[in-house]
This record gives sequence, structure tokens and C-alpha cells, in this order.
Amino acid sequence: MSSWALSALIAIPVAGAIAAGATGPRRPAAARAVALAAALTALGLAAWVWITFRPGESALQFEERLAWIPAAGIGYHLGVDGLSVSLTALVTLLVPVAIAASTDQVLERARGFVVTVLLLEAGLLGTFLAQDLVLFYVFWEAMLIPMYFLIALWGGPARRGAAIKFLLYTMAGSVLMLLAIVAVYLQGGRVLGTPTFDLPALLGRPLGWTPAAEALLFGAFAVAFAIKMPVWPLHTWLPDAYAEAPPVVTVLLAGLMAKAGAYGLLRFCLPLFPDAVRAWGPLFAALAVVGVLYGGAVAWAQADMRRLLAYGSLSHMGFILLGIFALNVEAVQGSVVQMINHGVSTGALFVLAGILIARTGRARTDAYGGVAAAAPALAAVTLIAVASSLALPGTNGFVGEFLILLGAFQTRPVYAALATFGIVAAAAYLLAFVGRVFHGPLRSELRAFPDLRPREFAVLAPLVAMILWVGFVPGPLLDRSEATVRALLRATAASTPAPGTAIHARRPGMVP
Amino acid sequence: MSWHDLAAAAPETLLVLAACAVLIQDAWAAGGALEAVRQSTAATWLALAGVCAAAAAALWLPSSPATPAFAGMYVRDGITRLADLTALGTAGAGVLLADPYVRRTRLPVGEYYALVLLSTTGAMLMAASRNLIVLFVGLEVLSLPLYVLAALARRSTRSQEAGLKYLLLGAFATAFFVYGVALVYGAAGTLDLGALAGAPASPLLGGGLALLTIGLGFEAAMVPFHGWAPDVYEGAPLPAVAFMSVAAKIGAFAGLIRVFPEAFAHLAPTWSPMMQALAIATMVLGNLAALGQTNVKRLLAYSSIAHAGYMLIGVAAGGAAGTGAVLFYLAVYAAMNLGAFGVLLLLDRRGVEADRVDDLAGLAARAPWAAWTLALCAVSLAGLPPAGGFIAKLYLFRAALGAGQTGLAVIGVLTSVVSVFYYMRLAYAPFAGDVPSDVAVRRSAMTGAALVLATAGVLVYGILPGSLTAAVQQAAAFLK
Repeated sequence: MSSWALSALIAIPVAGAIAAGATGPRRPAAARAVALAAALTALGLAAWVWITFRPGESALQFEERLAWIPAAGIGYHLGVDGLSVSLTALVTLLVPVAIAASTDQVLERARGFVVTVLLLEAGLLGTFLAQDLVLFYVFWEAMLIPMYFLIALWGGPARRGAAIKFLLYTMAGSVLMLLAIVAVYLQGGRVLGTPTFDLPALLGRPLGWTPAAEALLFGAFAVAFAIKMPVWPLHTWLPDAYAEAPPVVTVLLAGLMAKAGAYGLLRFCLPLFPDAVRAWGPLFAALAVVGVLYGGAVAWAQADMRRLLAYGSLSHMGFILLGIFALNVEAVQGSVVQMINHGVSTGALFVLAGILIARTGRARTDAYGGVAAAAPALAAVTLIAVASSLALPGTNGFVGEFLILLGAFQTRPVYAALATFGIVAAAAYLLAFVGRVFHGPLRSELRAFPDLRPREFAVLAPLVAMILWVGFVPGPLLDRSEATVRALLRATAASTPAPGTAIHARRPGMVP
Repeated sequence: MSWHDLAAAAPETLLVLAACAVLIQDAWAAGGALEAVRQSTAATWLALAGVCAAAAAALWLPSSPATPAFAGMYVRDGITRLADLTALGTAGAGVLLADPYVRRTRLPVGEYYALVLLSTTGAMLMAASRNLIVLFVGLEVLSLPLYVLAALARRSTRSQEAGLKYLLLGAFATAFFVYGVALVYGAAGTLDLGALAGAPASPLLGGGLALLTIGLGFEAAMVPFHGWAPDVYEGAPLPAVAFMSVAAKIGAFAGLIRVFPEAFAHLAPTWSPMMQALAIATMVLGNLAALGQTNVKRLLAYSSIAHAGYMLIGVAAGGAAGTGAVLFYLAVYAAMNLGAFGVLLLLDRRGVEADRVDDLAGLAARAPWAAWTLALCAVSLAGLPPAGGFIAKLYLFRAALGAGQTGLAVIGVLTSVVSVFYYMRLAYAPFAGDVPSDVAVRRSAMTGAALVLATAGVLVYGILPGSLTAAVQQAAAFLK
């Protein structure tokens, strides 16, 4: 198996950022073109990885392993498995969408903008690919800095406050995770003999935690991921950040960065702390349901369309959390697929919100009315994205949320029953959004509202295609994650997994 | 004293010779005038040559196994070597950064560089000391030139005030240090750090150690001995601040390592709680006080106090892990702090330092590389990847958790989050706002070279830290 693809995947955006930065300050179009080319190259490579990925295997594929800081037990270890292969592809899909959409929506300092977006992409890809705890943490934190600047430099009027709130909030969660990572490393050194930060090596043998230590460390990891997702009640950074960031940046925040949190729970919390996951599962399931209902209810009350979509996103992330802590194959599979779906549909919705705001400068839904008459294509695309978000059959959202609820009904029927009201709430706030903006009498000042331009259509077409493709043919997506999810849940179910049964058990001769 | 002794101390010797040469060249060039009319770059190159020669000697001299010299009062081992190289890198960058400023503001060139070189010698001597008297001599050689450097701008009352404050408080702290040396001698009957390694605990010895901590803690700007730092940093000439903020830390922490984790490792239960308490106070106060600063020099002063607190985590943890972490941190700190000050040195407000955060506004449009360097250094100071500051903090926290000091590590990471707030203000400032009309950007090849070195250091320590990690582990491996 080729052992350069994943490094190349991280290197392409960095190289693209350098090349775009070298285009000179007076040629923003050139910078955009270079950045878009780099992002599309990464998309091509990620698509190739996704297609050649062998479904049915739970082990890591495309693995790369190099000594990085051998004296400290830190390795450069990349790999994809069922949890990450589709997320990696999603990153490379949404970034070019955001760069292309920014052509009409971000007009100031375009060169700096695309450079920062590409650096963010490198951080995101690294987060999903890293198999070493320190390497993961490096990418996890490294993506905060570009995101801080994207909000602080290109955001709305209250951008600085929103950006620093976002940064401090997420940092506060993740620094405790850093200490927990070091604690895992020290314990691993005691149990394994050689201290290492390598995740597969640490999962090769039970680390023999005391219940209190395991709960504490699980908490440190889980809080970091919960803030990023975000999970109610750690979500308070979200409305400001989502609403102040330019909509194309929110595409990346809601579509990709939030997924890093859910991914972290699956990748690290479940296999490293199986007992604590089972013990604290009910609490997280309860928080998930609260998030689903609270997000839905608050979204209904929002007049600003970005805040409406932000709280809606919170509600949907609650479903994903519920699926993860249902701890059975259907629900976790649903969550893994829903991460992709939510990325696509929320991404599309924020791109559409950006298009609306860029044309009128209005963010309030009641400042619109009857836009469907002037812009029928825009209305149609919005309706498809909304349908996906509502989990209507035939769209990708249905596949994910149906599986989550199906799985959750088996293990936590009460929570699942309550969570179904979230879908009702979604219908309420999303259809109200569509109704206020697109239906009713056309406002006189919006008579000249232009419909989708060819470029905007080209940006949205891949997202619409994804919504329908996954809705009708979910098989390829589900196949890719199934084996890994099954292995992960086996490892989580056995409180003291025997050597070799844990996922990615260290193979002989692969001592880091 | 034999040739062997002199050879072991070659880096220090070369540096002192270079300082003398710089002074003589200056006197010759000035021709009796107090201030030379036309200032040449000869002194700069002479000082740089001295630094390079000393660095070559430090690299070339064997450091493993440890080479004692001067009847065991001086030792050249891995710790000496790493501290020497960090100090010499600081001196080299300090000279490069100072050159345009010193000439622009007509500071006495020869004296400036001679003082920088002598002060560096002091820091190196502290790192090499195996005897409390040598440590004291090193401390004096380090700090006396720094007092003069702080007061070197003769026409600036701020600079005079800074120098006087630094001198008075520094003399006071040094007196504590000497008194501590006396108490240790009274308790153990020896000043040799090797012989002290078996000294039994006693109240007298404990008192001595506490007083030694005061002396070194003043130089490192640890709370509660930090009161001088903000005022001195604000008043002293900017390049002198850049240099002293790093050089004093190198000397002080090398001294702390020599005394506490190395000589008194057996008394760790006595002094480690004290170090932990000092670390917590220093991190908390330094970071909280930095939050409200609008003057970059004061902000970086409190930041340097906070970093003293982080490095104290390594001292408190002790052992190979803690000591190695401190050595690593010193190297990274030198690069990132000099880089941050270096960007500030590019700015000039009609001959006066432009040192407010607002003065950085719009820098990205005028000097993009400088803006990126400042952002990188601020990210590194905040301890975020992919900069070196992250790896450095990772090692400190690993040492603390390995020593079972969980509370210390938790406070360390939480105060790091606080620090993100003010460092991000620094990183954000160049990219926003309008250019202040009275602030000019003074480009110079020497400042540029120093900034390139600092940036390379921050990035290499962050992305490829393998060789430095191995070096610090090897240097500290002999500590249990």
C-alpha cells in the first residue's frame, strides 16, 4: 500500500498556502486560483484514497510511520480507517467549496483569507489522520490559530470578542486533554515497558486503570471533544462564533471542526477508556437529548438566519452524540454517517445563507420575503438542503438519523423517544426559515434579487449531489466504516480486552 | 591552574577576550571623544566573531563524560554545553538586534557590546559552576553588566531610573544570596556542590537554601521577587531588554539546576514544595498581570515572569525529566522571546521607541514578514503548536506529572489558557487597524538576520525537535 498518500494530503494544502501567499498582494484572483487548485488537488487525492480504501477491514490503511521525537516516544504515525476515511474526504470536499464561495463573499484581503483556509485544512486533515496522541494534539491545536484569525480578521462587527471567546473556550478544554494524554503515556510506560504516545501501541494492552483515574482521564478527553462539538451546556461559544464568522468560514466551523470533536470521542475515548464510557454513557446520552431539544427550541426563536442555523447545528450534533453513546453498531454507524451528512447539509445551508447575506446585507429572516419568485433556483437548492437537514427520506440526513434512532431505541429507548421531538423541532425552525425568506409576497426592494449565478451553482452542485447520492445509495459510505465500528464496539464492550482483540492491535515487528 | 583548566573554560575565556578587544577597538576608534561622531560596524563584527569563536569552542570541547576543572570548582558537562550554546545564541542575536538601534540612538557602541559579552560570560559561568562561590561570581558577572545596560541611555531619565532600580534591588538580592552561601557553609562545612550532595538536612541548611532561592529568584524574576521586572523592562533600552530578558533567565535557571535538582536532590522533599508554591505564584501572577498591559515592553515583562513560573515547574519536578525540560525550554524561550522583541525593534517613533500594542497596527501591510514572525513568536509563547513553545511546555508538564505533581501541571495549563488572551492580542495587532502616522518601520539587514534565526529556532524546535530533545536528555541523564 502506498505510504505517501496521507502525508501528501497534509502537505498539499500547506504547499498551496505558500504558493498562494507568493502571488503578491495585488492579484487576489491569482491567489484564489492557486488556492482552489491546491484544494482540488487534495480533493482528488482524498477521493482516490476513499475509492481504493478496502471496506471490510478494521485495521488502519495507508499507514505511515516515522520516528519524529524518538527520545520522547513521539512518532509521526498516520493512517485511515473506517472512522476517518470519509471525514478526510469531507474535509477536502468542503474546503474547495468554501474557497470558491468566498470569491463572492470575502472581498477584502483575499490572499490572506485563502492562505489561512488552506492552513486550517492541513490542521483538520492532520487531526483526522494522526495515530499518535501528541501528533493528534499538535494538529488539533494547530487548527485553532487559523480559525481564530479567520473569525477575528474577516468576521462581523463583534468578531474580536467572538474569536477570542472561541479560542479560549476550546483551549481551556483541550489543555486538560493534553495532561490526560501525558498521563496515558506515563501509565502506558509502566504497563508496556516502553513509554510511547502511539495510539495503536497503547491500545494493544489494557492499561490497568483504577476506576477513579479512568473516569478522570475520560472526563478530560471528553470535555475537550464536547466543547468542540459542542455539547450542551458547553456550547456557549457557538452562537457568537457561528454568527460573527463569515458564512463561508462557518461552513468549515460547523461542517468540519465540530466533527473533529465527535471523531475524537470515537477515536480516543471509546477504546482508551471503555469502562468509563459505559459508566458515563447515560449522562452523555442525556446531555445529547437536552442538546437536541434545546438547540431546536432556541433555533426556532432566532431571527438572525446564521444564529438559527447555528442552534440547528447544535441540535443535530446532539443526535450524533446520542448515537455514539448508544454504543451499538447501528447507532454508531448512524453517527459516523451523520457526521458526513451534517457536514454536507450544514455546509450547503451556510453557503446559501452567505449568498443571501452577500446580496442584501441582511441577516434577519424577516427582512426577506417571497425570494422564491425572484430566485427559483436558489429556493430549490435551499429546499433540498433543508430536506436533508430535516432527515426526509431520499436525502442523506434520513439515513443517518434513522440509524441513530434505530440503534438508540435498542439501548436507550427513553432518550431516543425524546430525541425524535428534535426532528419535529427541526421541521418547525427550518420550514419557518424557508417560509419567511422564500415564500409570501415578494418584497418590492427584492424584485431585482438575482438568482443563482453559474459559479454559485457550481459551488452548490457537488453538495446537492452528495445529499441525493447518499440518500439513495448509502451503501458505499456505510460499508467503509462498518468493520471499524464493529471492532471498536467489541473493544469497548469488553472491559479488559485481551491483547490482539483491540482495534489496530500492534502487529508483531511494528514496535514504534 | 593548568592549561587543562584554561582549555575547559575556553568559551568563557574567548568571550572575555572578545569583550576586551571590543572595548579597546572602541577607545581607539573614538579617539578620546566621549561619543564617536561616526560609528563603524567594526565593534559589531568583533563581538559577533567573539560569540562565534566561543560557540565553536563550546561545541568542540568534550562534554561527555563531564570534565571538571579548577580543582573541581568548574565543570564542563552536557548542561554546561547546552546552557553555553543557548547563552551564546542569545548573545549573537542580541548583538545583531542591537546594532541598528544602538547606532540610531547614539548609545556607546563598544561599551554596549562589551557588556553584552561579559554578561553572557556570567550566565555561562553559572551553568558551569560546581561551587557556590563560582556560582556567586557568575551571578555577579551576569548581573552587573545588565544594570549598566539598563542605564546605558544616558539622556533618558526612564533608562536611568530603570538602571538605578535594577541596581539597588539587585544588590539587595545578591546580598541575600551571599548570606545563603554563608549559611550553607555553616551547616555543611563546604561550598563544593559535589560534596554538598550528601549534606544532612538541618534548619540552617534549609535557611541557606531559601536565601539562595531569593538571590536566583530575583534574577529569574520569580514572584515575589519580580517587582523590578516591569519597570526595568519598560525603561531600559529595547535591545538591552531583549537580551536581558533571556540572558538573566539562562543564568538563573542554570544556577537553580546546579543547586537544587543536582546538588540537593536528596533534599527534594524539603525544597520541592517551596518551588511548587513559587511556580504557582509566578505563573498565576505573571499571566494575570500581563492581561491588562497596553505597553508591549511591560506586557513582555510580565510574560517573562510567567515563563519563569513555567520553567520552575521543571525545577520543582527535578530529576532528569525536569532538568531536561528546563534546558529545552530555555533554548525555545531564547528564540521566541528574541523574535518578539526583534519585531518591536523594527518600529521607531521619531527616534523614540514605539512600544505600545497600538503601534503594531497595520504592520502586516508594511512588513508582512515581521508581522508573521511576531504572530509565530506569540503563538509559541502561548505554548501552541506547531511552534517550539508547545513542545517545551509538553516536556515540562510531562516532568510534573511524572513526579506526581498533578496540581502544578493543572495550574500550568490553565494559566497557559489565560496567556493565550494577551499573546493573541499581540499576534492580532499587526493584521488589523490603521498604520499610526508617526511610526516608521526601520529595516536593517542585521535585525532581519536575527529575526530569521529566531523564526528558524521557533519552527525547528516545534516541528523537528528530535535532536534537541535527545541532547537535553543526554545532558540530564546523570540525574536520577
